[in-house]
Amino acid sequence: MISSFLLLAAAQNTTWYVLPLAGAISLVYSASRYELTERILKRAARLFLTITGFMAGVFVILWLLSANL
Amino acid sequence: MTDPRIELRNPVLAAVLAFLFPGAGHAYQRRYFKAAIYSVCVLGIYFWGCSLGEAKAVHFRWDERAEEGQSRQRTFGYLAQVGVGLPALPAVAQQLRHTDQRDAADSDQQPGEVLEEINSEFTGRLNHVELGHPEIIGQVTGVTRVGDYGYGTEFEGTFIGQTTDGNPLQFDLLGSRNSGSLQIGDRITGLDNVTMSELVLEQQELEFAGDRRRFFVRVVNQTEDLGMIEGTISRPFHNHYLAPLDDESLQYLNGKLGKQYELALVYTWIAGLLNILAVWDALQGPAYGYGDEEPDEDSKEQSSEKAESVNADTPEADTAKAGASS
Repeated sequence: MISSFLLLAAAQNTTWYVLPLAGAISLVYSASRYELTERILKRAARLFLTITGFMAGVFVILWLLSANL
Repeated sequence: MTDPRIELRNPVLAAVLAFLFPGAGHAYQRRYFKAAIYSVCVLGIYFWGCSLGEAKAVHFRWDERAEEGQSRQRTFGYLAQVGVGLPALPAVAQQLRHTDQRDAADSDQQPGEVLEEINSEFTGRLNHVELGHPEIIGQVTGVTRVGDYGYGTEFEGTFIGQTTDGNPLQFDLLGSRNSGSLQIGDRITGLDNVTMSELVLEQQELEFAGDRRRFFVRVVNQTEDLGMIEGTISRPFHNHYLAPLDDESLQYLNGKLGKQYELALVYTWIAGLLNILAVWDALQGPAYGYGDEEPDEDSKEQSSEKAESVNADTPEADTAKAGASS
């Protein structure tokens, strides 16, 4: 488990590149839905958490499936 | 219908501006917060992608036919990248210039780059029967086409320079493209293989560069063959920026950058696609509304119906129903 997270945390791991991408997608998508600044930011934050949460979930599932390999 | 509080001004002009430069359309509409979001996010992702791909992730190539021994290249990913607008649009012009160059090279008369006179600084090495193989720098001047003969088109020119030790050199240059005694890299290309023949013999790694153009030519004294100069001349920025890449260059980039090159492609694709949302927002306004609306009557009714049906399933509701019927 720890080694998997260390692997994830490794500086060269390309997984980290998803964070700025998810942030940009969340902001631009939310900005194209609403006009009110507060609503855009709240919605973008929620979308960002949804995307990263979903990806973290997929990571955990894949990690569990590969635990005994 | 767009919320009346949002002033779209001239929406078509705003959409064009938003396409050409992310955020510009919204700045024109005085929607400055959105302009900042779009320009920072879209351009930030786009230029980060360009940086990851060493400025070679964005290029456009649309071959109607395959070159001999090569596959037909069609960069579908550019159709997403071009959504970024002006920063990616020069690739279309470079593709057209590249096609013209190739068509010219395929024709019998071989016009195009070989017709231009080449005057440029040179860096490389000498391969000489008497002087050996020193590293040299200097200037090639007046390399121009002098005539067409049975064995091909011949070129002449002059090299004036020195070895890296400081020994002055001056040579006449004479070569023919068809015989292999003159090799010049493409005038317009994103990356050029500048491998020197000596380096190939020494089995050293290939060397590629966008701003350097391969230049090998025979060195002569009158008509006596003395050897070759092998190296590169400069390629101006407008001849390599966003210019198409050939198969060999793409293989080189993928080998050198690996996943990083793929990330660069994904970043630039997504940046272009995101800007489509921004263009639509400039044209039509936000998709869902201003953001402070109360739920409309229909959705209110639907939600109250749902609440009632949920309450109807509870034991208390069943008891109340039974009491009412008795």
